[in-house]
Amino acid sequence: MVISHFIALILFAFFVSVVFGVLTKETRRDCVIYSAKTFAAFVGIALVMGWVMFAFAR
Amino acid sequence: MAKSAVKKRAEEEEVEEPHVPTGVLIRLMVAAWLVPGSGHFLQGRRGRATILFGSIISMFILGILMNGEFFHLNSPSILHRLGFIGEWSVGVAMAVAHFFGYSGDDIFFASTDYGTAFLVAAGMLNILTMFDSYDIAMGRKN
Repeated sequence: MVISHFIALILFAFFVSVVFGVLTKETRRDCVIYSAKTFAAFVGIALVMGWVMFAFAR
Repeated sequence: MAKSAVKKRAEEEEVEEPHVPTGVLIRLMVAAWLVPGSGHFLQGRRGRATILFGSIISMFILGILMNGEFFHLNSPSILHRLGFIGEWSVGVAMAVAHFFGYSGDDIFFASTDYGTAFLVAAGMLNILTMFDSYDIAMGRKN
């Protein structure tokens, strides 16, 4: 299975965020909120870092 | 305010950890290692166990579908040896993959690097899950 960088990032961020949320929070609401924040952080930081590296590309 | 904080801390220190037999803990840890989420399942947290199992096994299967590389313990590189430990942390899924003939040798496949990251991350997440079930058994977490 060959997938794009972005889809790989989305899948990785999703599953890791879900596990982090389930392990660190007690209530279902807190789990969902924490997972969503972690997912957004994963994807957001990766995109920002991608553009930063693009700016310094040779 | 400060007084109540001191009182609260004193109360927390008075709470003793429940005595759990070492054999039970070892069995729990081995089960949690072999099947992701089973440590939570055995302690009655079935919903969490299902989500953890689904997430970790999904990552492992995606890693295999992307032709992730299996590391070997006798590799000269210490990073590969650490990768071997990371991948085997996912438990019986690795043995099943070996049983069905997956060797993960095609390192020139386009998405092999992603697949390897998925395989190792699945093992690392399973280690976190094991520690979490240990904390639950010791009464440090609800």
